[in-house]
Amino acid sequence: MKKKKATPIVTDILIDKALDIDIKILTPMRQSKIDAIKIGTTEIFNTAGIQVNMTIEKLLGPQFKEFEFVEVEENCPMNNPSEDIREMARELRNATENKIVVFICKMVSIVGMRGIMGGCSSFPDEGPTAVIAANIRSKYLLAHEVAHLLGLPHVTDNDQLMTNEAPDKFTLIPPKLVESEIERIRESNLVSNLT
Amino acid sequence: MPSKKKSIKELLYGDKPNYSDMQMNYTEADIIDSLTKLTNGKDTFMASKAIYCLGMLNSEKAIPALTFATRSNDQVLKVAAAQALKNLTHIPEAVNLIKMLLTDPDIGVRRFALKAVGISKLSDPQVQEIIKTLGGTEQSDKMKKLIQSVLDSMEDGGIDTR
Repeated sequence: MKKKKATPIVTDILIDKALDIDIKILTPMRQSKIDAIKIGTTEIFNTAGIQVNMTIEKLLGPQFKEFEFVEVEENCPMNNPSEDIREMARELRNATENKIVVFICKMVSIVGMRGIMGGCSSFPDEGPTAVIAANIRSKYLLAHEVAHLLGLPHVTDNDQLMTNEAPDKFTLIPPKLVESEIERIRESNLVSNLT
Repeated sequence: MPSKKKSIKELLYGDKPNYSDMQMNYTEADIIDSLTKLTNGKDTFMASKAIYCLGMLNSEKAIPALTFATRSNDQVLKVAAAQALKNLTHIPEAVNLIKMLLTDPDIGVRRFALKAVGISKLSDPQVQEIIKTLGGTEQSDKMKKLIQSVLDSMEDGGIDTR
């Protein structure tokens, strides 16, 4: 299906909120891919008046090899992360409990070898944590997973960031956040006011 | 208006392949042909999903594509192959591919090959020997624990590979 381009935003959006995201990369990735993800994520949250502050750390030594392939629970229940996610959060998060950490891995699959996913978000004890697969082509998947951590559920409209068929089927580039979603993420306690 | 038939690629979207729709709308030959093409594609995310789905065919005809994935240089394709092969352990070639994955240099590939043995309840003496050898060489506690639970399951049947 041919993807539509969104109408360019004509009016300036007031950026009055901020969101901190730590990205930890567990598999070799091209810099251009990392840059694209940063741009895609910023592009999405700026439409909600939210500035994105990202730190990027590469965890590529042999001690991290075991975390390249991650298993997650089916349907990613927010409060019941898989053992792999709990272990990653315990050993690798290294962030305060109100900071979002996203791990970019080689592959994300469902526990018990029941399917292959693009990403998953949940709340282990250590704080909001997401994993995404490095080989996903869409630059918007990280924003999709972070938006789950900010309280957004899936929707069925493939023009929207939160389509449940993400990342394969965005039909609008960039995918949109609707007004009610924008209101909800701006109220998240993971989003702060810019002073 | 009748809805447009979804392509095999579209039926791979989502977390789990929509295999029942695939079987309803396409012949086995069409499914294998399309999945094999995706397996060879540049998009390794779709390739891994296609490889996974080949395991659902429960057919020897999936073996050539799974052999390609097992022998590739891409660990993602190898892990997807391990996930597919868990469903095909009644086919001797599939067991041979699992043996290759169990001795792969990559720890992630070995981990998922072990899980495939555990989930499939495969009880092959040669596989058991390979796993016992792995038990003596793996350094990680997580892997040692997994190896022990797989070996136990090969003797008792049944395993929780989480």
